[in-house]
Amino acid sequence: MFFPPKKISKEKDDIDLAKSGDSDAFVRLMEAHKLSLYKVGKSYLKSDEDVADAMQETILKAFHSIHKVRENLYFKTWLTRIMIHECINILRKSQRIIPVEEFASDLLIKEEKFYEGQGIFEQVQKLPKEIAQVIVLFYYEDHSCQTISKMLGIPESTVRTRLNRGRNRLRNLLRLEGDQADEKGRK
Amino acid sequence: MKREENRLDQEIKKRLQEESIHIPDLVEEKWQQALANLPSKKKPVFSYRKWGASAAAILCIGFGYFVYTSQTVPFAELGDVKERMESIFLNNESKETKTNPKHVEQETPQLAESPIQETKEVLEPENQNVVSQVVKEDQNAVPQTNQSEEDPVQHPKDSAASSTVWVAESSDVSDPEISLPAVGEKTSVQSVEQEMEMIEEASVVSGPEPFHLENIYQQFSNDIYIFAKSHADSIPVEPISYQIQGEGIGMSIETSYAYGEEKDAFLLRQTVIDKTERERLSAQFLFLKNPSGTAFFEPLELEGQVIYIYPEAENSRYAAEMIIGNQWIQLQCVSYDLSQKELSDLVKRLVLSKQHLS
Repeated sequence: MFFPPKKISKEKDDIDLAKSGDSDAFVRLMEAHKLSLYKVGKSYLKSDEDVADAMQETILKAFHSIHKVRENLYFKTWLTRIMIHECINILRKSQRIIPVEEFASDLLIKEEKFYEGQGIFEQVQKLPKEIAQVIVLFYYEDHSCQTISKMLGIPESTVRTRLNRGRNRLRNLLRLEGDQADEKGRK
Repeated sequence: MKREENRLDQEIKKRLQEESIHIPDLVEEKWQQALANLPSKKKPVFSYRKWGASAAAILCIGFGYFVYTSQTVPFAELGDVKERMESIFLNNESKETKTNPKHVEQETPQLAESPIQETKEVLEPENQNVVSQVVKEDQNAVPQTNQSEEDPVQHPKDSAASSTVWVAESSDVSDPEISLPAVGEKTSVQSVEQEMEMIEEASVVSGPEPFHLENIYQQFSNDIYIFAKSHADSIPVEPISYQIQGEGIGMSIETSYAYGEEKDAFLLRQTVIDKTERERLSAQFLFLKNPSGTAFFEPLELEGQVIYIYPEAENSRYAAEMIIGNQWIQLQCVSYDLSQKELSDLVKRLVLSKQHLS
């Protein structure tokens, strides 16, 4: 007989409880997904303050509309979409959307001081936003390309293209980091 | 290639997920604040969607009720009565019977049968003795009816339970042997059966003739009586008004009469006006053939506010259709086989179901 993992089963229970208005269950759910939301937020927004605002709004919106979640299995996807929506809203309000071309040209200049003394996540945030978003959703949050395409509202082929670009960057990034670690080890 | 990609993906995932990501204090603080200030969420008793559905359901029911009350679908019992009425009063065969004396022999027994049967059904248990008596008499009724061609109709005058009947005038009596009472003549009958027979004979005889209203007896209250005696020919198309100031009721009642489009129909309009000269009730009664020529009107107070006037007949039969305002109310008020109380209840029910009176 198949038993679902304890963590998933507990989350499902919490989702049901939260749907019926249990605030404690809702808080537990949010705590479980706090880091995921933060990562997604950081892939969209530079400022931590903006990310915090987006997370706050996400909490409120999720709290008010959690009863609309039909399938508990897709709760995380649903929550992530709220977060993405809030991030886009903040970007629109602050009009801080940087065109891709402009960002890419900046990237070459910044690339040299890209990896010094920074964690991988921080370095991922410095990638072009559309690549960083896909990397976060695919590698960090473990979503499939199909899910990501639905979340972002873009074709799956576009997701694969961006993912491919991101993969190459990450390969270089991880190799560089490895080299740096080797060098540190030698010193 | 794919395998290489997958291997690389697995490796990247592993490397990325190994790294611990620290949420800045600012974000953490706001996060906790948001969770602490969650609004109290009570499960709504009615969501907007449910409210909408409820409102839609109420509107549908209301509209349905409005359609139901405004349509002129007759009640089942009234439909039966109407059919019986038509079979007796509006039957062409009866007209043919009048013109062809041979048919009188065939038709009269049938006509004589039906009211007796109906009377038998309707009479209350306490009147069972009367019923049995009537049935017994009925067994002998057919030969008597057949004899009626030979002998003039006899109207017993000495009766303990005498009831007043106004008989329509017959100007075209095909059968000279059938004698009818004079216009406005009061005739006493012993039983319902005999009265019914008499009325039927009168209707058969007077068939195609325009309906002659002999007497209209109106009873507006216990104190006020109007006795309107008019002849059918004398009823003008233009209404006649009777102004009455009632004692104790504080209102005037304007009554007008007019013929309807058909000669055998008769329209009566009553308007009750209160002290403030405002119209409180306007009611029209359209009477179809009324062989007895008798119509009683009695005020009926419902819910202590409005006086509804309804037709009522005692030991006589007539059909009426009522128009109140713009509402056509099928009010085939036939005392034919209904007791007075049954008729009253029926009319009350009808009037109450048509509460479009203002």
